[in-house]
Amino acid sequence: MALLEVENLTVQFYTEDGVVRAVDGLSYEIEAGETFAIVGESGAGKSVASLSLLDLVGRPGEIVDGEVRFRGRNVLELPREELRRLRGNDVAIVFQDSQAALDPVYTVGEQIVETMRAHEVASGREARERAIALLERVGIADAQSRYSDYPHELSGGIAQRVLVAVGLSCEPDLLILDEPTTGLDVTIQAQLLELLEELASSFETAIQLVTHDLGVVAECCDRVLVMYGGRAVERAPVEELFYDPAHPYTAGLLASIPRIGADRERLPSLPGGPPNPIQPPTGCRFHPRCPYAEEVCATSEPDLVETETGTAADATRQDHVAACHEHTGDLEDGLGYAVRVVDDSPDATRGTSPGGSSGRGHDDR
Amino acid sequence: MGCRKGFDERVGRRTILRGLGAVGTIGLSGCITAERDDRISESGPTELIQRGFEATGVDAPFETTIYANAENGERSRWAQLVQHELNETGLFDVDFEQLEWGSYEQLCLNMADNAENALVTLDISGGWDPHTYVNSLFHSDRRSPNGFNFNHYTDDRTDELIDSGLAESDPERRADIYRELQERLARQVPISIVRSGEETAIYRCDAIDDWRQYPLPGSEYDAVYTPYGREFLESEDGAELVVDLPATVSNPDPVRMNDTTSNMATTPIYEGLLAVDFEGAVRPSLATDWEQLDPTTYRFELRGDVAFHNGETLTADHVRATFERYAGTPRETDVYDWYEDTVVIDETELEIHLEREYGPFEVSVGVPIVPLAASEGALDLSEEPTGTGPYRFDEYADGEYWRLRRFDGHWFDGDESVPERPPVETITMRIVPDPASRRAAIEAGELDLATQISAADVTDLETQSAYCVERSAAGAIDFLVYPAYLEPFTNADVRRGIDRLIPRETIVEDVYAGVGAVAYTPIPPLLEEFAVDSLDPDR
Amino acid sequence: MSIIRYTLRRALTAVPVLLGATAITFSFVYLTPGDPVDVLVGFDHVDPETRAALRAEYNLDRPLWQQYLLWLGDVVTFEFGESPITGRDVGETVASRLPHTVALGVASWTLSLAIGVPLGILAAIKQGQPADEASRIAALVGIATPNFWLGLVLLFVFAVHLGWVRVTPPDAPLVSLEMAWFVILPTVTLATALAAIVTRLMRSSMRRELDREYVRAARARGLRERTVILKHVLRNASTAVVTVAGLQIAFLVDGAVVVEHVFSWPGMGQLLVESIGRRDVSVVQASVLLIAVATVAANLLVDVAYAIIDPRIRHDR
Repeated sequence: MALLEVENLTVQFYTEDGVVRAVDGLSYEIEAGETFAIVGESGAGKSVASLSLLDLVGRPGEIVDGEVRFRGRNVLELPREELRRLRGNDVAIVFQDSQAALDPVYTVGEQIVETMRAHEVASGREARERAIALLERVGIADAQSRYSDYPHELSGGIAQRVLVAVGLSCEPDLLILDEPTTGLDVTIQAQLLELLEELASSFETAIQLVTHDLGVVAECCDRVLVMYGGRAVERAPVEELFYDPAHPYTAGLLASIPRIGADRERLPSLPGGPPNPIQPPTGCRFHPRCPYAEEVCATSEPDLVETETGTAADATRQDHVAACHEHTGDLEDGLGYAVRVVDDSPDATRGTSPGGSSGRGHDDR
Repeated sequence: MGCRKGFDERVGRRTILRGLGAVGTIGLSGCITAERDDRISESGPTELIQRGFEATGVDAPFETTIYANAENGERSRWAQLVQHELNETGLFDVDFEQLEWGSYEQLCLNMADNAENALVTLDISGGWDPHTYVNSLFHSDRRSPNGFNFNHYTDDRTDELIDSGLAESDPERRADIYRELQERLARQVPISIVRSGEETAIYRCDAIDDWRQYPLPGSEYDAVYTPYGREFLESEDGAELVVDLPATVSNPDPVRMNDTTSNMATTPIYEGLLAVDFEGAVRPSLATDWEQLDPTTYRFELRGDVAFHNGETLTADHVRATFERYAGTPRETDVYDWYEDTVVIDETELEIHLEREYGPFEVSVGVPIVPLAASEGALDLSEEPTGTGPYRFDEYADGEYWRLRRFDGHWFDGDESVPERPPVETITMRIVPDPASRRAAIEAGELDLATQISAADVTDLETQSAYCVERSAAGAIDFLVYPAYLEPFTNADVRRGIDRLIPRETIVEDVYAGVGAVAYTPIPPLLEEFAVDSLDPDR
Repeated sequence: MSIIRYTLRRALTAVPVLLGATAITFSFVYLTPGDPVDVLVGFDHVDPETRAALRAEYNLDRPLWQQYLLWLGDVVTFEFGESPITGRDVGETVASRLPHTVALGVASWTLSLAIGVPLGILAAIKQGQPADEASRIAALVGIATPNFWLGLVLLFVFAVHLGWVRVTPPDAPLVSLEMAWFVILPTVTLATALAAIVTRLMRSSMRRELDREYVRAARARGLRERTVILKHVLRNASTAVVTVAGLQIAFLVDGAVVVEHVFSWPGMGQLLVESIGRRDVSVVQASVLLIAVATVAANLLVDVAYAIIDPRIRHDR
């Protein structure tokens, strides 16, 4: 049994213009201690999916189908009090906008201590000491005085670290990081990622990293899920995804990363924008933007299948799966892109644990 | 706010007038205005107005505005009735507007100076003397803001008549003067008199046996115990009577008093030389006897053994000091309009010399006699009103209540109609500014008696057996002021025409629920000898 | 900056405000035609010499600015003098009314917050549900109900028909059980509209705050819903309510005129209206000064409350 099992998760938003299916039948699993990434453009449904894990999708959104099982128990059907105990304690979220996610009228320390108190992890002087230690742990200098700072007194990087400290305060089994590096400058991003990796291993915490930045994924993740228009389009161990992207959208994303893309036959960055969420395109949602789209793509919606066998994907397996007609043999001309990895690129392997086997440059199809 | 907002043209307290009969004979026969002018007697009101328009070169419809103050619902309603009648003729296009009292007061007092194109609706209350009704409204010396001659009406003959009425002390000659004056005013119509008012009191029949209502505002609570008026309130000895005051007491010192409420609160405290009883007859109060020696000299004999609340004993010196205390004070004219000096003959005898022959002398001389301590400045009557009356001041909680207690040292020894001492020991006057709350308070039993209840509430409560209503014709008149300084209102025909259009019967019956009476002349029927109920059409 | 220093600095800025407010009312009272002496003599015909003497007695013959300075000089030494109209000490007159105003004001202020705040919170967290709709309608009715009408209805129902309370204040000390019982109706009358305003305001600022990210974050941290609402959302949402509640303190000094009138309550509102009618400038001025002080103090309290509620404010200034 995996730590987290998401099955057929479907979330709808009821807007003035119509119903939006923000997450559409999403399934995946995260093992204990694993670092799992969800990648996609903004609006792909990755943040909503993350919020669903703690049943935090507020109105006008609604989880209309599916299950989120944490240690085998369906989070979406937990009694209120048990759900509350789960939140922050077993599963914690570090929100994207760190300044907004901290209550402006309480000090940093109070918010950490409060979280610990809510889960009876620690209280009083002990909680305070632990909070200061945590702040030190996430690399905040002068933690003692930062403890009584208000959120508006913090810089973006520090605030993000504080939020990580809050997230870790009850030593959760799963930490969800929603775009943790957005808005931070490159150096600080790097520091933060390093820190996360280190913390994940020392706290034995599984991480679900939500990002639009494949560069970040390459550096620290075990497996990756790519979302497009509320659906999973590809899921694979990180190195396979990078070396052998099985969905043209993934390939497009990769191409837009300067460090990793091939220097020849580079795909132009993805033309067009995300699909209209109220009236998504027929067939494959990506087909209007796909350079390899054929007639079938506009009429028939591809299933998520194993890229090797073309059989229906199983959420429990660590396989490489993708949702493209190519893998069921329905595409006449196939996908015409190739990936070339440059051996001597220091960026390609820097600091990544799973992607160590560089130099496996090969042409796909 | 207070439902009763009007100008209170106060006379001196306890004014005197001889030979006035029973009140309540109200009612005037027919329309008395303009009938005697042959030229117009056959014309209807619209013809009159049209003729006036032609004479002044004004085209119909003439646009103007009629005003009332928002606090007075009844006044607003009758103003609108007048507006309706005028618009019906097609000769006028009249707007109606309500103002808050403060702005309204300013509009009225300055309407002539500002040449306002405005008709205003008001009422005044006067005293026992006709002078108080005609002087302030019509004399050219009293053009507002120095009086209530709002439209600055100026007529030499009117001034002459008013002045000679004041200076005449023979009652019959005075009656002739005021008759001529009123006939003249009825021809000229500087303002239109609409209604004469009533004083009403509502009381709980279980708490009060029989209440006698004083016709003039300010002296209501004399009815609790007045040797001079041969009235008193029967009750068990030592009882407390709870009555109302419609506002806070602004100042209980007679030389600074400027509102009716202070008057109401203090009548049982003070006494004067003479007093006017409920029928309007002059009665001795602190004087036992008096006579007019010559047109400007009166001799008074004082009652002996009269004690003030502060222990002083009344002497002729008190009388002189009281009069002279008025010099240089806000109420100076109460006395110095006629007073020359006082010659003290002995402890109880004195002569008052007048600077001129003065018609209303006997109604004016009854000002409150106050202790020497007050005249000498040792006693502040603003803080501690002190007199010789049957009740003494007990306490005042500002804005809450004003309390009087029986004065055990009062001079009266009792006679066949009034006992030696008042049965009511305490009079608590509760300040209840809102008329609807006054009604509620009397229904809840917190007031034994309430004054100044709205006309609708009076007629409503009258039908319930638990409440008794005492009504009496009063010295108050409602009237409409024309902007007589402005064409076409400069033309008397226009004013006469409008005057005849005023739906007086409807106003009294519908707006005032039958309280009060239709009126055409400024001197109310209360002053029987001076009121005219019909004018000779041949004059 | 410490709260105390912040408070002191804000308090100092109040001085020019007080000077301005009193100077303006001073000139307004004199701009209205009809001076105190006209009222004193009852618009009567008075010997010009007497009139002049009366004017001189109360410094009315001096230029306006001199009168104001004289008044100011007296006020600084807490000497309000004697009213030319009533002959009573102005300070005492105002002081005798003040406790009534404070009592009624504090009671209705407290009541309106006690009703409005929880109701607003309830409406906000039950958005769109029957409780929210009910509170919306109740607030609408509360705002639309005229004070005098409500007061009279309450008076006739509870005092006249049911006989539970008195129509007029009892002969009892201000701080007594009987008085407390009496003051219920005027308090309810005065508090109704204010409670309605507070409810709507509370609801809308709560709604605004509930959509903020920190609320979701607080829930994600596993805080109890009660903690999220009462500790986090309420505190952030309270600034708007604090502003209105603060301004109402000043309003309650002079805004209770109608309620005082209906319930025969001897407060400042009635005193002010009476005194304006009598052109009793001395009492009007003293009342206005008091109201100005109350307003300034209320504003100061609001500012300090802001600074306590929201640390960003005390750091900014």
